[in-house]
Amino acid sequence: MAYTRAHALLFLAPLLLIVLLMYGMMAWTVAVSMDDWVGMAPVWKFHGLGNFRTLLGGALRERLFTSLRNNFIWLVVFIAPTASLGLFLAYGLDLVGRAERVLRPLFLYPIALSFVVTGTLWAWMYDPDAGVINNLLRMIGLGRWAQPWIADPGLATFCLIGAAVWQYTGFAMTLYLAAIRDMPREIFEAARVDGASDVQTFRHVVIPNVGHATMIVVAMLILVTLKVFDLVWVMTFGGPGISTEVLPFFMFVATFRQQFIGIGAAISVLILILAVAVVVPYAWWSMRRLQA
Amino acid sequence: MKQPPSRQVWLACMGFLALLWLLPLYTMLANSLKTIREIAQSQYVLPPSGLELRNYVVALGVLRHGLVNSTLVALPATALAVLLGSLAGFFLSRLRFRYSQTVFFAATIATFLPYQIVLIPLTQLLADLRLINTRPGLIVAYVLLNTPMAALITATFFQTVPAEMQEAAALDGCGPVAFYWRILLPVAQLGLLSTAILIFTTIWNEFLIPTAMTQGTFNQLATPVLAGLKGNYAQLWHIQMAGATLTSLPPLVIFVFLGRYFVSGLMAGTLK
Amino acid sequence: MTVRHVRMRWLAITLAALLVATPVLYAADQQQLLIYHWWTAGGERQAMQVIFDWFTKKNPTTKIVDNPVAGGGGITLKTVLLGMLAAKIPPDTFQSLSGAELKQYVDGNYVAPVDDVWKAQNLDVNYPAVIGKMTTFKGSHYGIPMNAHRANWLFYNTKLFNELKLTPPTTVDEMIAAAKRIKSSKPNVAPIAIGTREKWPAVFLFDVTLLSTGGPDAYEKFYTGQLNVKTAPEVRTALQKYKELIPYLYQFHGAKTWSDIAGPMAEGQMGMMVIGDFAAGLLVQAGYKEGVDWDAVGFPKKPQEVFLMIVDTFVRPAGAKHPEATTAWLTNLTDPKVQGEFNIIKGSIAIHKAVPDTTYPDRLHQEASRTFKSKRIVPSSIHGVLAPPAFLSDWQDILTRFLYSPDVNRALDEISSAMDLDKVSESSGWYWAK
Repeated sequence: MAYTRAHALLFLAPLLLIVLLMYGMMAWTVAVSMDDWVGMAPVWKFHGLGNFRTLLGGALRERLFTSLRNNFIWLVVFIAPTASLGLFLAYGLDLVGRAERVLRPLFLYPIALSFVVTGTLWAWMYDPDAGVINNLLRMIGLGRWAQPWIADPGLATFCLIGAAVWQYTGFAMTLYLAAIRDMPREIFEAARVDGASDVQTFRHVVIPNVGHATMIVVAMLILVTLKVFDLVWVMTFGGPGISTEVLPFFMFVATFRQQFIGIGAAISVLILILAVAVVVPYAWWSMRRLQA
Repeated sequence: MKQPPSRQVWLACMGFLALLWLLPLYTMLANSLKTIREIAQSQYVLPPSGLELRNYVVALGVLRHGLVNSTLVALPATALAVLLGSLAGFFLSRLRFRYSQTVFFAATIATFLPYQIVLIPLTQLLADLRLINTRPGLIVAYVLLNTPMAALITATFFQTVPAEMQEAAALDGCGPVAFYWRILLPVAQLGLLSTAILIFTTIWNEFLIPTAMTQGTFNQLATPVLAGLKGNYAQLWHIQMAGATLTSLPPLVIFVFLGRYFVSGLMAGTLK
Repeated sequence: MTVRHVRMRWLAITLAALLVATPVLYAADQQQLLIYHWWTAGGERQAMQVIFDWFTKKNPTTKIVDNPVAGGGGITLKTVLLGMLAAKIPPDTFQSLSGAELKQYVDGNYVAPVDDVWKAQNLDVNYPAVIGKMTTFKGSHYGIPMNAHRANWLFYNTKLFNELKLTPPTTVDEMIAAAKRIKSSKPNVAPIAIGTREKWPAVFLFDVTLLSTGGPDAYEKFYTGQLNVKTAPEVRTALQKYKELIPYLYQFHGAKTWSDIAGPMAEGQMGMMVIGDFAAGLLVQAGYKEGVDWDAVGFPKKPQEVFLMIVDTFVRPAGAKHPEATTAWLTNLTDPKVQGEFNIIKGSIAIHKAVPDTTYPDRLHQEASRTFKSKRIVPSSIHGVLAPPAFLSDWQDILTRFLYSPDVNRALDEISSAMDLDKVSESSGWYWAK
């Protein structure tokens, strides 16, 4: 389809302007990351890669690598279950008939809840003594499965991920639902006429055709993973100790609690680098697969 | 007609998941109806012994301005972000442009910037534009932060529209603007609505920007007010849970309202 | 209904909202006081209203634009202020703590001296000397404090103590002995209640331990970086004693906040709790009676009983738009009548010497007031008032990790590195200035 320069201006200019502004702010962040800014007021003292040295090899090394490790755990443990559950539910909504009107907002509801509350609710869910999960397990006789949950440094990150799965599955479901409902009904009819069961339809009709949706779902979930902050802040505050810290949390604490603004900017730069390292290969790989 | 066993299993799974999903909701509602004594006892799984509806009255009293303010900010900001984002998304995904990939990636990376750290230059920018403590200022801030994401999601959905549709339109003499407005938007409406849902809830639940850029309790948005319902020393969890229920209602209404479009997908094939 | 209609509707909403919103939301030139603080709900908010009412009575033409910002110790407030102050749009006053926390604003040149108010209200006489020290930097005062919380109380369940014939402990060793008794007689009761989900209660517990084993001088030296952490016996002893407490702590403390354990303590599920006087307000509001369900003593009493103090101050931001309003606000805070009324509702105590002990309706606050006037006042470390906030943040992490894996040598190393990284001794010169 042909277009003129005026068209390009109309369509692209707003986004370009905004992206330009964002990159301006990114440039500011990069500048601050190479600045020895400690304390409230801006201090412009060029520090080269000093902040990065502190993070990667100096006094903050352990905290940085704990955060990196936790973000990695999030990447591996959070994305696949959320996306898969979302797809499962999206197709399932086709099968439940009228109940869909209730189930759809139900699964989507968690994303409407403020983080302020989600973190608290799940801390209450996970409370080892008086919480919902352990008490339900005890009620049905599975008391020996009860765990210290967020009171256990080894389990706490997984507890956080559980809460995040609850919160974001509905959104994955919505994206997949949009993709499924966009597919022509004929192919579902054809499958039904061929005598396919629900599982077979799911495997051979739905899954092959939701490539684009999966790409955006996974990209969004990667975004969530590298930005998750509020949930950690409210539910565990990075604890016990620093066992549940993630990069955005570490950045916030360093910048606003400790007034190490230069370090915080350096962490932000590392987050961006990590984002590029994860998203670019993934997007490239996805595009190749979709075009194949 | 008897339902095949695999469907029954699927339905049973859905039912089980629905119950799981309800558990935190139960916790929120149950604790929102407790008295301060019951809250102090910290027995979260137990239901309240009575129904302390007063908590909702108190929460609403504090939140009512915030709920209105949030609606007046989130709706236009979402609409603008989706509009501006989808305009770019269309251009990047459907029209031949040499730098589409570059812009696409640039926008993607931009969405990963943790916005807390850019709060400082962002505040400066809005102060320079004299937009502090104005509703347009908040809308501008949110449009800035959300349009790239809107562009990405809509671009992905636009990519699934069959090329034949676009070619046929071009042959009919349809220009890009008309194609976008009359054909693409209706066809990809579910993608747009999904984007709108995500962005609306992101804006609705956001906390730092209104705190930084709004002054006075009557002008504050809902989520910062909600965060304050508990109190620093007062620890009024029950009021906060009631407030959380109230604050989640407008997005829920939007979900239900927009959900109608999800029921019947457009049959893309028949539009040709 | 097609998407076009939906889109049209949204565009209409956008335009309407923009039209409605275009006039600035308040008239900027009217005399007003733009104030930021973190007392957002319940008693603390009502207490703030008391001050507002007094202020309005004295300054009827000044409008108060109130901004309560949620976030314990002002963390969200500080986040937002960082941007506002850098963009040169400061409020007319904002809440801060004292000491090193306040010093951050001073170092950034974001606050102006308040010596005029200090002298006019004769605060060198009317306030205890330590409060003057906590607000003085570079020879001038930079904040006006208004109230004090006491951090070193030991709350305990009266019925439990009566039943087991226990007397309230006066040292950490006595606390451990009492904990042993509770654990052996009542295995279902957690002897020491603590909730470390927000981390700082772990510091409160360490503070009283250090006060008990090392005394207030060691406490002050430790937090101002005057002790060589790795070699000084005081720190090692305190950590070892802290380690001895661990078997008696509520085992799932990582899942609870401080307010989650106050009720269970009063219910008898836990025995003792080291926390500030703000817990009393919570307990009373929840219906638990002082002397019947719970009681509290200053802790420790040996070697020396001290008042471990947390003060809230308000400041005069540099370049504020309504400086007369700021001055009026700060002056109002020093009024003993205002302080008295405020503190009764707030649950802290007034710092103006003219406010009598009998102002407070309950025994705990009357005792706090007496202690404040008679015993040594030591600033509490919390929120970065002695050691800077940067250290406090790391310190909370170190202590909560210690509770799970109590390796004293490793902890001493961690403290030492944190003190280096956070420049504790370099930035604490103000405390020892003459």
